[in-house]
Amino acid sequence: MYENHRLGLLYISPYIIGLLLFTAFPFLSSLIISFTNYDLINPPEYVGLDNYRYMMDDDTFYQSMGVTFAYVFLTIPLKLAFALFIAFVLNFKLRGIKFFRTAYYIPSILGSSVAIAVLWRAIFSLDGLLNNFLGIFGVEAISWLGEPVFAMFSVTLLRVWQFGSAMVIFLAALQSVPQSQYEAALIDGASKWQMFTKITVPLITPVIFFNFIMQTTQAFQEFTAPYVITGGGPAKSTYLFSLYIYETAFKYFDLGYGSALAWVLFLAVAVFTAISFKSSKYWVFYSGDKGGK
Amino acid sequence: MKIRTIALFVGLASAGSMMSINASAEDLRMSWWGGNSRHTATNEAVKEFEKVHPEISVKTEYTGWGGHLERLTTQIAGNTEPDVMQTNWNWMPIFSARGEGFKDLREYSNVLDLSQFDQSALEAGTNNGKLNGIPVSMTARVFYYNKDTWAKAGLPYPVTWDDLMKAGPVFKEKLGDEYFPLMLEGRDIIAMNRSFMVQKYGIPMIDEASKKFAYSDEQMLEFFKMYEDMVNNHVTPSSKYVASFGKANLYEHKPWINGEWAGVYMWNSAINKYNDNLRPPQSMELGFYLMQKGADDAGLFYKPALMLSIGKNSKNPEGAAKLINFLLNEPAGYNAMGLARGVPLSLAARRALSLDGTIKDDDLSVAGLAQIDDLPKKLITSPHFENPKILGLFEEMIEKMDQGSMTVEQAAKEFMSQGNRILRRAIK
Repeated sequence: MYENHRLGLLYISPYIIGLLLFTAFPFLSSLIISFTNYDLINPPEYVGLDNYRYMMDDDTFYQSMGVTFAYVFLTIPLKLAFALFIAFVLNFKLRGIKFFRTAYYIPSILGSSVAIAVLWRAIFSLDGLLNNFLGIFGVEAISWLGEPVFAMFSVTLLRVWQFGSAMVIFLAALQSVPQSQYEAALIDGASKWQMFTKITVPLITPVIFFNFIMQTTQAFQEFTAPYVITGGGPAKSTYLFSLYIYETAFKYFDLGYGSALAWVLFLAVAVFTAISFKSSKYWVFYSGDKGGK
Repeated sequence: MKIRTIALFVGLASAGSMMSINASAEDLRMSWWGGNSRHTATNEAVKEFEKVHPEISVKTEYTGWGGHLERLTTQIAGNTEPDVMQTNWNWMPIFSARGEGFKDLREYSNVLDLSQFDQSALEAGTNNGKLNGIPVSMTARVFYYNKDTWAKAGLPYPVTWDDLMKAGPVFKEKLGDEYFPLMLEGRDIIAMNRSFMVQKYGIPMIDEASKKFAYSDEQMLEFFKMYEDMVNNHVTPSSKYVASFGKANLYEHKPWINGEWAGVYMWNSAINKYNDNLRPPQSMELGFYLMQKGADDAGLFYKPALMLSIGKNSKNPEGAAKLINFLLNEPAGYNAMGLARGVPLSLAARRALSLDGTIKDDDLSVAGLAQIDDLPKKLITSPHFENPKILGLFEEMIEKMDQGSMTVEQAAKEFMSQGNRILRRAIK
């Protein structure tokens, strides 16, 4: 028995070592560094809570936090609704359905690549594809990347467009909803919409919740799109928190403050997730539940 | 899987660099960033050096610009930096805030001939009294214009600041809303306005001793108003307009390529890539340096384009100094290097390369340098002027002005207070 135990540990040791070395160690050292003044060159100097105190009256900190929450609150509902809608459509037995399932997943494979972000910039630029297209209908060129509200919208849209992974999970969930329930509803004279809201959605709430948590934590860490498309501008309107952390640590060589910022983001995500879990008992129904509790 | 593969490579790479450190004491390592032509020329020059000094062998390490600073930072942090490094002037506050980050090159003046270099240039490579880097070439921002667009506007190049302000409306009227006499980004504006202020008041922007801006509140307001005036007068596009093209290098934007943005305030060492990107047959020309009447300092942002430094951990600093002297001052060295690092500052090299026709007077960058040499320059620019946080803050302020979320008064005030806060933290 004990032999097996050791053998098991040996098998998973590459993962454990990787986790300790490349995740746990940097994670904990960043906590320590956050209490220092460290520029990579000179030895770190212990400054206690100075970095956290500096944050208190750092305008960029508040601005960037605000932008990040706006981004998350804008992206997540849109993306989840969109993914669920497409999954719902793709759940019907249509001709060529396998092709469409693949096609809709492709944006997610391209994922957070820089190339896609560059493409996005070319689409939304003042002289870009979108404005040229709108020009055909006589619409005057719109400054998609120059107006703060539109810029946020353009960056958000890129993430919403990458709905594939959430969609696949939704699709699996939809297929596990028992047909008999729909048949029963049909006999009772329920409309398609009623079936969707009263049967489908309640039955897949655990999956909605799962997607919600996954997508939220990822959205809080979004970096590539604003970095490549707008560089955080105009006037810091798309300056997400991860951008601020990156620039502080690796452009301004202020690793102490950068680490402190990273920890505050970590806490913000943790609190947000905790609240979500607390709230979940009011709207997530697991099978075997009597509902609500 | 991916991470572990990377880890393996990192392990191997560091083992490799350890081995090279433990090799013979006479071995030198030299590193730089650049393009292919620089790599070939430098390797060639190093080979020549080894012929003259067979007792020293040099291992070269070179990369493109991308990632070079990160790599060097890691080496310096781990005390495994090369003996000779190509360095940037604005890295000095990062690596050698107190002058201890690199060797003091004056200590090796027996093998390194410093008399070939302009005194004020050596001053720029000096930190806390220690010569940390020897400038290979110098550069400053000057005005270059798109010859063809200006001809279409029917205007001569401006000579005074007033001329420039008056050119904006003419461009707008004759060529259209999207045509501007100058295209200035945040970092160009701050440098140009500083030049104007030096000419007018004879003071620098940053006072390193008191770790804050040298301007009064009124002067800072004037500094910001100058930008507001330029946008209102159609001299330069607003940051809002530029942002609508997305984030990219200025010379990659369509309006630049098409000649709608018809001028820059740019490093003479960088101008060729702006010129090369214009749609043929357009080309650029050097403009006059705008001067305030009676100014005795042009307020140039004059700095080393590149420097060579010796690592503080070098086991053979004298050999390293010999290598630097060979590359910059000795015929076999500078002939092999040519213009791979700009027009050389070393008098010996410059004279020889001018005579044999390597340095051509009609080249945009050479013409710019000749103008720079002739302009009066007294004040040395603080390296903190290029502090990325200060630049970032300035860009944010002008963007907020252009978006209408801040008045020019608010922007000037905010820049003063936040900027002073940054300087206090940055200046050691």
